[in-house]
Amino acid sequence: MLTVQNVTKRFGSFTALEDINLEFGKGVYGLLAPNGAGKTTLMKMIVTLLFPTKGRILCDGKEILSMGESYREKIGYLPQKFGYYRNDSPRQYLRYLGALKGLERRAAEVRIDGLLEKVGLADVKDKKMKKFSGGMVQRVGIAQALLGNPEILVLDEPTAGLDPKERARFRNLISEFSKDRTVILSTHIVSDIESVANRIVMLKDHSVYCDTDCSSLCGMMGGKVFECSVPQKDADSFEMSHLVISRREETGQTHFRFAQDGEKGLPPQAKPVQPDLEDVFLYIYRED
Amino acid sequence: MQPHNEDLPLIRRIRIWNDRSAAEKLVERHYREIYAYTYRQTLEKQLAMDLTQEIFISVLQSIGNYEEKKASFRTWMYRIASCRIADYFRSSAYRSRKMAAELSDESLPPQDGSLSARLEERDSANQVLKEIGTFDSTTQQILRLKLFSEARFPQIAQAVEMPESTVKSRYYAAVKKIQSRLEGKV
Amino acid sequence: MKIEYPTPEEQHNSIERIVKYGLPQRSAFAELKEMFRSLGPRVIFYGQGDVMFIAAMAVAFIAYYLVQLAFQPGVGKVAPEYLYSFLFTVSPTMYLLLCLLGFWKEKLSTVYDIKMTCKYNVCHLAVFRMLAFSCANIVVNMLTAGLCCLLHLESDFWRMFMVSACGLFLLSVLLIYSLLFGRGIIPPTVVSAAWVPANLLCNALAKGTYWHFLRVVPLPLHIAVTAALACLYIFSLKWLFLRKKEKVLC
Repeated sequence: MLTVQNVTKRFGSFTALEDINLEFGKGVYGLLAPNGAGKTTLMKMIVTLLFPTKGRILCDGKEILSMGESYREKIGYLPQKFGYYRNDSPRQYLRYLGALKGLERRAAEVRIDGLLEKVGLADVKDKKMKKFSGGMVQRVGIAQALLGNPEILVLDEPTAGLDPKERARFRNLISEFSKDRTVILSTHIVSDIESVANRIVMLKDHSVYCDTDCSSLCGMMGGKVFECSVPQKDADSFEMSHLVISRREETGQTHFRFAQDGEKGLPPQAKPVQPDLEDVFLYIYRED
Repeated sequence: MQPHNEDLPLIRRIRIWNDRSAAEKLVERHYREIYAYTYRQTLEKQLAMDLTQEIFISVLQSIGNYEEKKASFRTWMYRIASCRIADYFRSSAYRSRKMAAELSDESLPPQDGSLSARLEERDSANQVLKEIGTFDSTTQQILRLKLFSEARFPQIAQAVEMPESTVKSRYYAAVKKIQSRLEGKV
Repeated sequence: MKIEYPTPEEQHNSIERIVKYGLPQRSAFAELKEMFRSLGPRVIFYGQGDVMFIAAMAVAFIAYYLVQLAFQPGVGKVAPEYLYSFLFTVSPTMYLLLCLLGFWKEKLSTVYDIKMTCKYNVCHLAVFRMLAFSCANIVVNMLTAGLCCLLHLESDFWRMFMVSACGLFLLSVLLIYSLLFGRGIIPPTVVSAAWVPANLLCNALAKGTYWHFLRVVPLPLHIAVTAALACLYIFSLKWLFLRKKEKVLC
């Protein structure tokens, strides 16, 4: 159990996070927030790259900053701007990190081969990474985070640069991995966490906006999301006067999905629809 | 109650020289106090000893992080203790004991009176302890420090790094809730 | 409520166990040795190849300069004050370059974040490297002193070596203090950049005392000062190894 207790982080006069209280047990937690809201800062504090200005983070009742290497042995981290040595092959790179993580050489070798297989890089495991596409590099990053078999996995925008097939594979990997482990992942791609996350944590204005499961979150928007079709000539004025979530052009008509509080001023042809996580995200962060 | 300044030279010796005898002296000075704090919340000698041991090991291991300016050593030590105890109540070890205990529970006679009175009596203390475990970690810390140690509100405020007024209002609100829940159980 | 306290014997045993597990069970040097055993030199010095090359070039350049000095036409012997102050200033060059450039390389590396979250993080690696580089620098100092003797620039080998060692440990202590008490990579960079100008300044302004210390002060005193600095350095290295600091090199 990872507990974030009254954590505040300030950089000089700028407050990145204010009085954060969260608890992470086993399962997958999705951290949703727009850029600059403090997602990365929070994740960096969880992996001890940054120290809180106030408050503390506890792992099973002990402060992570006092635990030293015994805490680092429990974590796996994938940062947003993931770095690697260009002249290395994935195997060499993972061997290097495996050694730094304190893994025994032979056990690490077996694990590296297994992980590269799981992320679909088995056939390029000895090729230099400078020849890799962004998606392939990202997959090496994911493998690296899982290398030490961590109890706590922290992934910052792990699906950036991955195509839909790779994202599906990633989701399966996370689901499989998260049994009996804590996985905290942040993303903008709402569909990635919709199917995988047990709980969603949303940050707004430097503090926790909500911390709940997916269905309750969508339930919050119940009766607020509608769809309707509007003649193309009226489409632009419609978009300006309504909170549009998505817009699709069809022959002669523009199909809108939008959010609205209450029934006042609702166009007659609008139909209410079941809200999903994307709707919630766009609605909550509409001013940002 | 021993004065705060006597701890500091011992702490420095532990930090710089890893001085064993300084460590022994420091732990000895505070052992009974922390043991009592733990015992009042667990009501079992062996368990209290185990937790006290773990707490002091944590204290020694993290003594490099202790900042003299931020809080007194006792306040810092109590915070480590409260966190560990709260975590124990969350752990599976506690849950399995609780279930075993509940199976053999007989219906308890109704209790009136203040929280502190309830805590004097073993059986009703168990009920209170259960209720405390339902609150969030910060409120738990406040409750534990106020009910089971001799800390006063200014010291508790220092331990949880919140303003004293907030601490007081949280405490009284929580106590009210516990009282009403316990009365409701009658 | 009546509290059931442990017996004095039970308490004593418990406290023994607490101290046994609470204090670090191994000395910092045992831990460094263990780290070397499990990682090996390849991992510890990974990615530092170009830094070492630059430092080697600098040492070669200094050697070349000394040779040049010895074969200067006409002037004859070089003034000993000049040679000693040169040795004092220049002796830690290899160490300085290896450490500072090494720090910058780590800081600028995109892998830095991931490495900081590993069991053996950048701090541990940096401490080991600093220790290794100190030893390497002492060997180089010996060779330099030997070279000076060979070139007949000076005959007092031990004095030359002590002066070099003194310079090395003085800079090492300053560097490590800047890491311990400063924030980020700027303090060690400033210390490193200021070393040569500060010595030149001493040369220009406090000639008397400066040269007196280097040239005239009896050897045992020199040895004592150098040994004290070396102890301080080792002690501070240990401190750095065990201390948990935010953003040590960033």
